[in-house]
Amino acid sequence: MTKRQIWSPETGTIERDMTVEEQAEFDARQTAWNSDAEKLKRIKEIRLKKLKETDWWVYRGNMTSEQSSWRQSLRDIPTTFSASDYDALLEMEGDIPNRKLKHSIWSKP
Amino acid sequence: MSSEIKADKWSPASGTAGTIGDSGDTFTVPTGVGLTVTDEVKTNKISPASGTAFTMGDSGDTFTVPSGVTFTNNGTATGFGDTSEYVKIANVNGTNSVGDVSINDCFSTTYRTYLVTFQFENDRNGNQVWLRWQKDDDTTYSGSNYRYACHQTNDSGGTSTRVATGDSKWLMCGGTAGGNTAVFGGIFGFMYVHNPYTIATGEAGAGSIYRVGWNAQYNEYSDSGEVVNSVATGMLEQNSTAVAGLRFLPSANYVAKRNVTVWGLKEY
Repeated sequence: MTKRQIWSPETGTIERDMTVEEQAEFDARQTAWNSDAEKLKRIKEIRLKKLKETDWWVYRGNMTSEQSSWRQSLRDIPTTFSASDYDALLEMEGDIPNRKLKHSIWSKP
Repeated sequence: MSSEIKADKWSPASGTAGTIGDSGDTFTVPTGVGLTVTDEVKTNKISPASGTAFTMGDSGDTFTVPSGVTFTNNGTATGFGDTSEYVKIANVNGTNSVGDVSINDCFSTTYRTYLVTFQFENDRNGNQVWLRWQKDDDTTYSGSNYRYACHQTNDSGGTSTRVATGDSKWLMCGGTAGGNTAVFGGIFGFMYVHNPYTIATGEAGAGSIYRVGWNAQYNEYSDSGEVVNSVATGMLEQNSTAVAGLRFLPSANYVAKRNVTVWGLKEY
């Protein structure tokens, strides 16, 4: 059983095993986090961040073809990649503070 | 020796020092008799002559605690000034891995505003930190009634938002650094919690739609090593039941290092 840490006025701080219901909720959270839908959601968040970081390329008005293609490839991720690719898209490499996403699609041209 | 001495003045028989009685003696100044000492009185203790109440001075008098004097209160002091103060209610901390951290019944009718300070590090990189409010029965509000807006600025100057209506939790941050004792990972900061428990109709915040509002500022150390400043606010879209506590939980796996303190803001 997974432990919970709880403070209450009656007991102060205690740690106890999760109840059956709490454990089921905990397990469901793990399942949801590792679901394809949740992974794709996180991938889209990363994509949005990358696009926003390079919006100034667009505003500047003279994007290179490589930059334009790269931004398009980010937009195409949901169609280019399938669920079996999601872990690779989310994989990180290196040590903090130089840790970064490993997949080449995230690298700016 | 007579049983009564009548004199207008006592003075030392020689020199300048006089002594009254010996150890173990008791001298009583009866009811109705006034005793005026116009200079310094030195004693180790003052107590009520009868009962348990002791009064200093009369209306209009001023008693001064001079500079350099320490005035220690080990009991209960009431009515001192009109300043507010933070009253510590609860603290949880630890470093072992747990599935979540709950503080039950820390909110009540006693205070309207609370301060929550927090530091969290998950047991591994990439997981988020969530918050859910709790009810009187210690279960969480996990319906689609979390409404929040968060603005983030990272150490490269990049900005982003994290917003939601109808979420089932307050998603405080993205993937954070965790499980690495070499860095100060996760998130740390504070938030003010407003009107979580029952408040009277007509008072500020006693709306019919929302119960509990919060505004927060915290640092997120992301899983890619970015320092991210987050400024967030939110409300829980329900007003049918009181919000009695709070629960921090990781998006997956475990919370490792944590330290959470809840304070009530005492208002005068």
